Amino acid sequence: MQLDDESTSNPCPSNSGTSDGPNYGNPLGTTVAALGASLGIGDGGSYKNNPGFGESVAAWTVAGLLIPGGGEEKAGVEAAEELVAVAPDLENLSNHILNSMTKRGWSTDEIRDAFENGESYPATDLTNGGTAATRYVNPTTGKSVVINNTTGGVIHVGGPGFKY
Amino acid sequence: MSADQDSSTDLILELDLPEAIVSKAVVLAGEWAWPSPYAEEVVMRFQTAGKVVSGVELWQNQDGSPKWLATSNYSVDLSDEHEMLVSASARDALEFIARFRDLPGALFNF
Repeated sequence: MQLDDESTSNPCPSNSGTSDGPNYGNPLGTTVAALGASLGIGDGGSYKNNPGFGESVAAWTVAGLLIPGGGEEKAGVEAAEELVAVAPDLENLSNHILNSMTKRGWSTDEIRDAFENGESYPATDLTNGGTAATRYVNPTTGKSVVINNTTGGVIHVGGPGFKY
Repeated sequence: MSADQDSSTDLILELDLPEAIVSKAVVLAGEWAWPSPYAEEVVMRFQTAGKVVSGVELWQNQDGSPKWLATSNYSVDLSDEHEMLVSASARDALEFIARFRDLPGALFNF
């Protein structure tokens, strides 16, 4: 993965395809993520929380890559693996995140609001070996929070003008 | 660069950094960040001042805005003895910087 590319996030929240990566049809009617470059199967794309998985859970399947037209194609990933974004762990915010929240004007309610109601984009937690993460955009402030998909740990809270 | 353009650097300002380091800071979205050699110097200043580096973010400058790439994940246990905490956080911050120092355009924000 090139660190200077846009594969870890997609600034375009729409369902339409972008130059950043393909988008795939979804029988549930929501956008499914193009898979992250960290998985070695192409550039990332946008996806949204899928109500079908519950109010606070976003999920997409790695092995069952959906293709336009509603078909399903093996993505070249041998083992079926499901990546599920878990709710932010607001009880165990690191001191660094707490400091960042203060200087960038975040509250825990705003993190929760971003997770529950914001647009979401695939991201990568480079510090933790490139594990999957998700960036959520607070619908009110437009600021982003990045959450580790496995642990729910809040990795980053951004300020106005940050890019991803 | 003036300090009053930045509302997020109170801790940095407390370090009373020399002009040689301040002048190398890049201000993005109202926050300061440094290329690796100077970021390492800032960490050492934290340690000398007896202050804990709670974490480090890796950025690149994208058209005058900070592009976030990574955040350090070492933990800071405030129950530890302060001197040990200062030393450990500096060590971990330097390790994070070293890990990404070769990334073109890498900037480190505290």
